[in-house]
Amino acid sequence: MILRYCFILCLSMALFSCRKELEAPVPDTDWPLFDSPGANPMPKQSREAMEGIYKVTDGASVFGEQVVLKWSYVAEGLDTTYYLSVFCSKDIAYFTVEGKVLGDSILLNGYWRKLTNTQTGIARFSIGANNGAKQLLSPLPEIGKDSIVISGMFGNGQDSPSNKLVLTYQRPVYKGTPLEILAHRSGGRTSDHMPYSENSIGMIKYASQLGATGIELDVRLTRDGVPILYHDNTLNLRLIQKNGLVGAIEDYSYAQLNSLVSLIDGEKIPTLRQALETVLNNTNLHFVWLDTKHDDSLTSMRNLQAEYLQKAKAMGRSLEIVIGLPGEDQLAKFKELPNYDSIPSACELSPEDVVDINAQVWAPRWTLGLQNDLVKQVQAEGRRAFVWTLDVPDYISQFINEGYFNGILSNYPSLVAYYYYVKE
Amino acid sequence: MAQDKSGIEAEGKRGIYSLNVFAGGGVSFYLANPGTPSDVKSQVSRIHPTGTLRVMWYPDHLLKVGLETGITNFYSYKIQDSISGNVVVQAVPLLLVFSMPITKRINIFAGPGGYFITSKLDYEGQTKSKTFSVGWMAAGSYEYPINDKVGLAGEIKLLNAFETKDVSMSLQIQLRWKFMEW
Repeated sequence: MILRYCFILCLSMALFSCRKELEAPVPDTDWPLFDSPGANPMPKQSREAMEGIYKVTDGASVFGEQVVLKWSYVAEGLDTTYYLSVFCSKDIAYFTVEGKVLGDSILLNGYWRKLTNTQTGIARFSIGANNGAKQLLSPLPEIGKDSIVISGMFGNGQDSPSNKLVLTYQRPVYKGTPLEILAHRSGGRTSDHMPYSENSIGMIKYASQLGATGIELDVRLTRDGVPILYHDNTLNLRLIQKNGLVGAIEDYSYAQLNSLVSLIDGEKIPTLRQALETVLNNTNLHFVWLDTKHDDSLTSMRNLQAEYLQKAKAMGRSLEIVIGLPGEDQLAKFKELPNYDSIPSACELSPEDVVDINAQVWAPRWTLGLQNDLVKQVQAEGRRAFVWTLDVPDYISQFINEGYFNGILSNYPSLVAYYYYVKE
Repeated sequence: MAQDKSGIEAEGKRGIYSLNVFAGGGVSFYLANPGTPSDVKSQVSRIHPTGTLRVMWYPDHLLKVGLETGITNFYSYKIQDSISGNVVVQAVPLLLVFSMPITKRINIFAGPGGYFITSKLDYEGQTKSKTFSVGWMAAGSYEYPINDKVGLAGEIKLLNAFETKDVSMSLQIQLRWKFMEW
């Protein structure tokens, strides 16, 4: 009888081993009115004045009672595209829209997404002349409570927007004690069905739209010693498109990976050089945490770190790049570097190890709690404390409101941004 | 319930137990999308030789259990770009197999297990790398008994390594040898 049950179990496994693929494709946001010849880019002062905390006066059941509006940009050569992000706490939802001026109104066009599921849809809004656009488009906008009303529609999937959403300005975003909002895996995880693969160039450019002020990059070495971005220790179908190649990524040369391997959304595995070049030239990110995922020599990482810190300085860019040290093996390799105690690093080990290597950042895991006394002790030594990898909404709120950390690493930077900017 | 020599079960006595080894070979056809790199020209080969080795315990009732291994080339492709090369994806299954006769000569086999998968890449240098994927197999065979201990069978078999999304169908000729009974 037992063997018979086993037989039925085996047949069931065969039937159910075909897993459903989940996706959240970015909807097509074409909007003829938005793309009409009369629509022009928004002036800088209008963008800046729009940022703030808004009350959701219609649509709160879908996106929560209040939201945060923040601008970011992606630069491509001489072209710079500005994105307005809307950060919500409910279901870790966010919007990313572009803005244009049409006549005496402002149009906002883009899409929304919830990270607790695969829900997404088109978002189209406008600000009428008498609902704040006239004030926003003036040379010196003066914005007060209820002075901006953003109204429009959002849809589901590729459907035309038909659900009403109205946002009313309440107050400016919090600008008190600074907090680094660090996005995990260069911006977000592939498993969260983001528009780009994790640890890809596209994801690095997207990170700011998710509220990140900095990113964490997972660095591995190829067989021929090229530092690349890749999280897992093997080539697998979670991260790459099927190509027959399996096993440890360190088994392959960079030429082999670059020619034959595509990330899950079709991108190439970037080198660390390409990633830092993107951070420097295409984004306004100002912190990069190089998470060392290998235990070989750190020389190539250190050389790139020094080169790009120098480039940033020459460009007048505020950019910090730290070498992350998650374990004893990486710490030992770090100590082999010449003048290691003057190299910017983020040490995940004890505060004593942090002092030993003169790390700029102490980075304990979030499950160790707020550790307010230790954090203050580290800060008193002139260092900063970043916590990782914090994804639970209640704990993000607690760490921001009751803790003293200088930075939070999260897979949900938009949620960290929400809880940080709504502080009063 | 045990069986007498004619196969009829007698109250309170067990029948004959035996161990049977199956050895077979044939061709496999790769059914899944081979997923070749999008940026290089490639020519896929889905048909490859395959071999199976299986040991089954035949108790005195219909359901039998055993272990199966073997070797199969799931698929291969030639890279025909500015630089030429090739990739071979090979698997060694290790499966727990259950079997039941449907009729006197037709048997079905199925079971869970894993696949030790090796990819051999020859492109800008050689790389041989390995991984493990869980999976399952299902098969049906028609067996012609040559004598009391030996049978000759034709088998159709589906192999599925579902972590690596590799699926192949094979046709094999198998020899069954009852090498132990008690």
